[in-house]
Amino acid sequence: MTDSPAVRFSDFVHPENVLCALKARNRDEALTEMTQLLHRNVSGFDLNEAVAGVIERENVEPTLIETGLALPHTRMRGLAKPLVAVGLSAEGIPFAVDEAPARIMILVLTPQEDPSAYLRLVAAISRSLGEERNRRRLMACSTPDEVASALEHGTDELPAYLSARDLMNPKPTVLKENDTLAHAIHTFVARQVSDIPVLDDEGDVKGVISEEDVLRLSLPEHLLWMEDLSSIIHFEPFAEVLRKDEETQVADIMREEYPSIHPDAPAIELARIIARDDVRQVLVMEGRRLLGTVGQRSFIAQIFWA
Amino acid sequence: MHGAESTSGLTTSMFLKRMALLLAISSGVGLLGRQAGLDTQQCVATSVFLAIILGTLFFWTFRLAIAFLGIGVLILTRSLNIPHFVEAAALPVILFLVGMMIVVGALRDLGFFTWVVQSIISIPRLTGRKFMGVTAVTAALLACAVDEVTSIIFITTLVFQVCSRLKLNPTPFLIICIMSTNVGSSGTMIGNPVGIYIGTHAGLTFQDFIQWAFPIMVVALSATVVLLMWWYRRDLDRFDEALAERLKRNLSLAPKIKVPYRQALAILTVTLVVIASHHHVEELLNLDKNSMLLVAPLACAGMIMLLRRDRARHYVEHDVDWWTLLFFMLLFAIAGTLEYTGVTALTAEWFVEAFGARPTTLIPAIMATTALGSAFVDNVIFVAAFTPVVQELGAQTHAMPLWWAFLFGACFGGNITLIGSTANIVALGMLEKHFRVRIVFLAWLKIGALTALVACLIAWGLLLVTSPYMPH
Repeated sequence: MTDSPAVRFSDFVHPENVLCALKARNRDEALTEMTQLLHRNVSGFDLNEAVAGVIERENVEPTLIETGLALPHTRMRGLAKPLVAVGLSAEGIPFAVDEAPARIMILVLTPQEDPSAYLRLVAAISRSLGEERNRRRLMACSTPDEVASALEHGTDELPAYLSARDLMNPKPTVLKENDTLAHAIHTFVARQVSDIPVLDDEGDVKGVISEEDVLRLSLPEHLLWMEDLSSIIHFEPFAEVLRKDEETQVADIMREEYPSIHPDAPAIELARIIARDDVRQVLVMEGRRLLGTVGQRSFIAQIFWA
Repeated sequence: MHGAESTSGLTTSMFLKRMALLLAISSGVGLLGRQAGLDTQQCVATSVFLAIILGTLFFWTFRLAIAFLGIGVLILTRSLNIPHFVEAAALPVILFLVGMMIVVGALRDLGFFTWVVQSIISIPRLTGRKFMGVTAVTAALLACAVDEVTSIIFITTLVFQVCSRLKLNPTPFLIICIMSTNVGSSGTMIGNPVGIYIGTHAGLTFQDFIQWAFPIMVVALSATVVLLMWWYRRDLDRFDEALAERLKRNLSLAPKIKVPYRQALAILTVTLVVIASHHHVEELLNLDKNSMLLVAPLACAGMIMLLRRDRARHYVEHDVDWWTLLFFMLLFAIAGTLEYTGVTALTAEWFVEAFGARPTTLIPAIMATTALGSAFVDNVIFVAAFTPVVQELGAQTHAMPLWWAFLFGACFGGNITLIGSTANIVALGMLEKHFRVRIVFLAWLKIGALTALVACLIAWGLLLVTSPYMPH
């Protein structure tokens, strides 16, 4: 994808790649129908491989980003630039369990070797179609030309580079300073997270609590000096911590130093922090305010896979 | 002993600049010595020794490399020959330290240090001041019983753990412990590598240390702890408040468990008893002076390795700080060259001319010189170089008080600057690593110099009182 900041999402949308009324009745049929359309109009990729790739990614992680808006995607070898197909369905097509059906589907095929192409397109699309009225205006279109025109007027420029904001999880699991240790442990287990930002009553970040902090509370370093742990073979120190898990507050355990980044910082800065400081999670912050988090696994998935 | 490496971030240009400065200063001083009447070998020995001193200041991480090169230069310029190198390398001292490091490894494995930490945090009705007082005294006594670097490593971990729980900046509390450790390390022959070096070269026994050095150390330690706790009284107020608040919520500083410590305590007791009784055993078996002392830790280490066969290799490979010991060996040999070439005899002559040959003037002169020297140079380096000078001075007057002045100057002087002793460097390295806190040189110097001054004045006064009773 070109590095020029003036590139817009609509530059990738051509009327011949737009289907205003998908015939498909389910997700896989819709993805196949849109990929076939792209393949008919643009050569240079293997149809079966593309369909399988799009479906496989959708199975791993559904791409519904807003109510009724899905952005299915895969990476393809041999592509010179991203290819985009748009499909509309008045009835809606189920994309994920417990979610509203997708009415607008924007299929994106990106070059395998471009880590940021899809994410920059997503950033541009979500800034535009994140608004309900823009989605309604698109759904009102009845011809491919109208769709292309609506997108031309409604879409943002692609960001010149990926920023921390583009990669963050905007709704991370958080804890309050005065939450109990018992609540923190429950959250670690129930939400399957390893690091949780801790906020005060005003919502400002006060620290981070990690699974290791709970382990270290139970097994401080001086106990690890012993070679023979038979005296604590029944987890005696853990028992004491558990006995007091209602009196112990998150603020007693959390670390007040944590890696953070400004939302507008280039995402490559995130890579540096994660690699250099060997951290699992970076907080995206504006002043003391938490905007989101970027986990190492999510970062890897988005850059190498999404 | 585990060195905290502090110059690992050196860039190539910084490295070259410092190396050029090192070579320029050391060869410049050598040339000046030539002008002042030293012969070629004396000049080379002085230059190489100065290069080692500057090497430890400029390249703490590469000090062993500088020592290797220094030995090469000395041998090639005939300033040192192989028999003298072997003799001056003080192999018995090195083996003594190897034995103690193995014993310390076993003590850690068997829960001795865990027990010490658990005992401190389990003190009933704990307050901040009680905690700091007990921890500082424990740090000093641990230094006496094992060595100062081992003591400060374990005590630093305790301070960090407690301060993390209480959300306090550990710096002032760590400084209290470090300075107490340096003072405490003068209490016995095994508290500090300089103790065993001085002891073996002066022919002092373990009992001599207990009889003449330990009581003075106790008084100096008391004054040091009181002074430090007054100096950091506001930090201790915060410590008291934070601890009281935590205890009020029924939360402890760490999980309280029973640590099986008896086996470890037995090993330490046996080791100390064997070391302490060395003089009697030597007399009984008609052995050379201090021969039993030097093999005692090795014999204890041998027993430990037989009893804990599965860990024997680990103790030797991981718990013995071979890097530091190799450095000490070469350092002793290089310092020995100063004696071999007569540089130290010249220094002793100058000392007698300046201060006379009476203990009353030599005690403060030696103590002050050693304290100031140890403040800016690794005290082992200074002691290794200055030992022959004290030997020369001791030949002309009552020797024992001079040795104690030398010992206290080296140990207490370590408090003056933050690079004054290995314990400082190791503990501050841990502080930087865990809390990213760097202490400002002058901030340390203020309290460090005051502490060292008070401790040295006490030692001077007590040495003047006790020296008439010391054996000749």
